[in-house]
Amino acid sequence: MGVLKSLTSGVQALLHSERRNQEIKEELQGFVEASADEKVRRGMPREDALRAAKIETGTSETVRHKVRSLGWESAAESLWQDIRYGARQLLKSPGFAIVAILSLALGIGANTAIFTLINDLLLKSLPVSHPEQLVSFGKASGGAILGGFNPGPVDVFAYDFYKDLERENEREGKFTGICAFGSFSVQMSVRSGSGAGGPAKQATGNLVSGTFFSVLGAEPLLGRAIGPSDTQTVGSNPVAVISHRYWQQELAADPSVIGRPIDINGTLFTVVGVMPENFFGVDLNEQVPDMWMPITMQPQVMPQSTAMAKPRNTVIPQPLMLPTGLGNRDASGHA
Amino acid sequence: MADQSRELVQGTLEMLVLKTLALEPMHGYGIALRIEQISGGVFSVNPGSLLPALSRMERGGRIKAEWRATENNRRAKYYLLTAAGRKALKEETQQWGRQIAAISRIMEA
Repeated sequence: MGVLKSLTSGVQALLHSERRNQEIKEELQGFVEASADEKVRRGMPREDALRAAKIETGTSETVRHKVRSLGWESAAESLWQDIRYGARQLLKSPGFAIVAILSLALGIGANTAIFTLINDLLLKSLPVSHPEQLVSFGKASGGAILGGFNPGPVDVFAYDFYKDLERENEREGKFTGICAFGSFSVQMSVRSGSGAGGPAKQATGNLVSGTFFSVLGAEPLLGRAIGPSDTQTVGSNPVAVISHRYWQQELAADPSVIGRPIDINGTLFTVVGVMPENFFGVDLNEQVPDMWMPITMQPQVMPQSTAMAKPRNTVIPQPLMLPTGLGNRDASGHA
Repeated sequence: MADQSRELVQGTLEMLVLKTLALEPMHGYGIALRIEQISGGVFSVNPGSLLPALSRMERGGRIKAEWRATENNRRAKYYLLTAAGRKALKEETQQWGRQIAAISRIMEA
């Protein structure tokens, strides 16, 4: 029998179960009567014949049950009955129900939390082309903790120090590339409606050096990534690369998003690129930033901070805008 | 009939029903009666096993059912053999023949 036919007859049986019951009952009744007629014909008194026939036939309930238990729909029906029975039992002893539900909820929740942590720590890797070649620069332990603020497994330095490091590397060529990024995400007020208008919404941004995307080997989905030419002069390159999520949810996946102006903290920026969905930056635990901007745009993105103006002085008192060095050692050896 | 079992040989009910229906469309009691009569009272079929079997065969497409009036002017569900049922009967008869012959050979050896 075809699956489709079995399905339709099963659904029909479910929908018309009352009629079906009635039919079986009627058929059985006919059976009893015919059997009694036959016995009467053989000379049995009518009353005895009817009783004997009824005994032979058995109760209609068992027959009905046997007939109905043939198809899959009876399994569905008994499942539904079990669910209702279970719900009734739970309602009868609410104390037990609450304890059981709470233990389940806590168990599932704890497992989810543990897996999320394990996934971040052990299973997920950075969305970059050669994560095994990446090294972070700094003291091996405790170097990254400043005033109770812990940016993670990287150390924090003043931007000026990073610039020195970069120049040093250009001369010596020890690393394929060095990049830096803001040690935390910046909360910004962004107008992303048409013509950089519309209501101001909060968005998170990460300031990155011009080598950030090329060192990580992360290619944009659309447009271009931020490059070294974007970080030559402080304050002169108002461009932003947006995350896939921000593009989908805030900009309605606008296909002509490249070149679109957005207003970040009162400064007009231009969207130059969209990163692919699996690119989440360099922090495994935190939320993906909504966008990345050149590190040299710090005065515009963070108007209250003076990290760029007085780089040497701001190492300790301004931990919030201390970029982090990150080198990419090339295993094959070319500079 | 003292201790003698009037149960059918296991697994033969469907074949017997098909054979009975091949003669003419019949209602449930008619099928049971016919099997009992033709077997000379050796087998009796009770509705507890006959009706589920009929329902199973109906869903399997081997027979179909329709409500008709009986000779006594009662309403009864008559079962008719379908083409698939006819084919199944032929196959089961052949298989039964093979099995019976094999069993006889073993028992007479």
